[in-house]
Amino acid sequence: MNEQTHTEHRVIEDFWLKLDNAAKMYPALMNREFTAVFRFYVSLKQPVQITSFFRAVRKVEKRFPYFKMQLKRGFFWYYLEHKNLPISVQEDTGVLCRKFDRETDHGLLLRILVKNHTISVEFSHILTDGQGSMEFFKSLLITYLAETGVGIPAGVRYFHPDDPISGEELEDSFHRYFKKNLPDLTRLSRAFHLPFKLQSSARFSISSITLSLKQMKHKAGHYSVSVTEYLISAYLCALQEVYKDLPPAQKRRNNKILRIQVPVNLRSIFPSSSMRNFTLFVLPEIDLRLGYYTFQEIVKKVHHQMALEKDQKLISRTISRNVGGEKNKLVRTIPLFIKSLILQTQYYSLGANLYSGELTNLGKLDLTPPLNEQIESVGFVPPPPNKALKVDCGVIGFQDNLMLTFGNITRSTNFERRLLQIFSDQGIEPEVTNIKNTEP
Amino acid sequence: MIKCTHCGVELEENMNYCPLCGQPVEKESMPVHEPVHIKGGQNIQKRYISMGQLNRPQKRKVMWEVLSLIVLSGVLGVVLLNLIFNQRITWSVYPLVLGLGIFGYASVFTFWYDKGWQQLLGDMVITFAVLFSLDFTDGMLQWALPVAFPMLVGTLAVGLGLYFIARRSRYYGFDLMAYVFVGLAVLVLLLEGVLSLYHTHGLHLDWSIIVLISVIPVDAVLLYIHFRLRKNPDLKKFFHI
Repeated sequence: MNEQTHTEHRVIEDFWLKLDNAAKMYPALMNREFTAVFRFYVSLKQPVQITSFFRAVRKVEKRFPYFKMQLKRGFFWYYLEHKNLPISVQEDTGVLCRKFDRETDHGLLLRILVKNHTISVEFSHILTDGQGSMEFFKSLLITYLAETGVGIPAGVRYFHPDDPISGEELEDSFHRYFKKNLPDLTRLSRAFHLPFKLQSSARFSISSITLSLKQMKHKAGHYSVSVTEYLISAYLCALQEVYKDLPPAQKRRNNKILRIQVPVNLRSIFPSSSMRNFTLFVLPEIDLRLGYYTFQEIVKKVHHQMALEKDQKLISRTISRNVGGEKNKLVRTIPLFIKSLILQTQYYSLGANLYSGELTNLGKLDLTPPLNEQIESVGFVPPPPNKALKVDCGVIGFQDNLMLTFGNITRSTNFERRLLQIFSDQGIEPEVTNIKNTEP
Repeated sequence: MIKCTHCGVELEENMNYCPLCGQPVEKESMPVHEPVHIKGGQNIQKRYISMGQLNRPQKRKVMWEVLSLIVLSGVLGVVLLNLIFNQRITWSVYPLVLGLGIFGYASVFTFWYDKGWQQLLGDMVITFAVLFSLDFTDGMLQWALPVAFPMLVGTLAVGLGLYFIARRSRYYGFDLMAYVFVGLAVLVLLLEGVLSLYHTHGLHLDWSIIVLISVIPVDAVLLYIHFRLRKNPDLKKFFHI
């Protein structure tokens, strides 16, 4: 380890962090069901060699001290305090995205789960977003494969355990790109929500669809859009189908705007090496008051909305609104328990009620061909949706596979089956499906 | 390489337990001796197992068996000696009661190891049985019911109160010490009350009140240290705005 690395590791031994702007709302809203925990998993071709795996975990965790944090309650705000405790490695019992526990998870906000051939990592959204957690996951996988004797090709880009830690990795980049005095955002109207009944208990379950990435790219190319835009269009189309099936009275009663939350990795718009949350949402929508849309019309609308909403100036305005709220003197001086109460009451009216669904596309995981050969499949489980959203979707690509995983807290998988039907109508046949038959 | 039959990960050859799920490893090469016949006609595989291969509950059970054997044989020996020399049980009643008490404590510790409040309750029942037996050795009850019983119930109530506070406490520190002091102050109040009722048939509190008053400033300092200084040495982070 060179001198600089040593110095940086030493400096980083004991520290605390304010929650980043996106994380601030989660502690007030989290409960046993709405856990804000998401999961990456990889199924290897060989069973996990547990001794090598433990060695890899102990190496990698030193490189990411800012992920070994405990959530603490301050007087005005929650904060994160570094604890040099080992990251918990547990047997995967099949319970997905459960709330972090002080005893089994050492009070940290990430855990690693292993069973047979599968390695999973679960993160709290308080700690980081998809990009930050994916970097950790990549680093863990590559270090593990190296420990088992697999040669790591030169030029693979990942966070090596001996790499120096940059201060920028701990940065709250929302604050760096905050601009004062930008005009406020226009207020959105309430959106349509899936009409399915919630499960009575142990609500969170998942379904998955595996599609051919090549076929998806071909189809998206046919409409001159990206794979994400194509998926959003299919998602909106499936929502429209669910709406069409409603009885007339329910149609009249329901909101007619179908709007999806799509997280955008802001690092691709604003240069940042932050490993904490740096994501905002764009909100493609269709308004059914204007009539039903054909798939082609939806694709066209989504493509242009995405291009418009990913505009740097518009994103700046959203950052300005969010960070501005946090910087407001009145908000800052309100004690935490009152802030939490306000957030809990406002969350649905200002947040969740405005969206009909959520689709997170993390892109393609590529570890270079020799390492990819060791892997059977990769998946991403989105955090359990809230009671208004009911269903959400996480997407990740690996080699020629595109895996869609649906988090669902209802008794119905009608939405998932509708989406599958849309793919089928488009001529895309899924390679694997895992959707339970439930009540319609 | 061998595989864990429970969680399916690959283990090292020399592992007896899976480090991931904690299950014992089933190895074909484990030294297995000839089947031994026992009563009832069952065949069992007799294995030589060292203490190192046992998990914690198994180790506790072995220790309980050894301790029980020593204590009960000791008690039996003492009672027999008493019978031989005095033709009846006289002085050996004390080691007998204490021996049975030790056996009871060891059993509660072994079999209710993870059950905090049951363990405390069990210990109290055994203590009362021991004290009751000691008081009853001359065939008359004098102090067991009016003194020992209320003191034990008081101790149990304070102990359970402290146990539940400790369970609910997010951070173990000076706060627990403060709660223990409060518990002890309440306990001495009770002790003096019970003793004064027993001796003078009236409630006269004196020194226990002084103890209670003395505990208040000590507790205030301890709680301040815990909630303001020890838990949050850097007040900046606690009050960051």
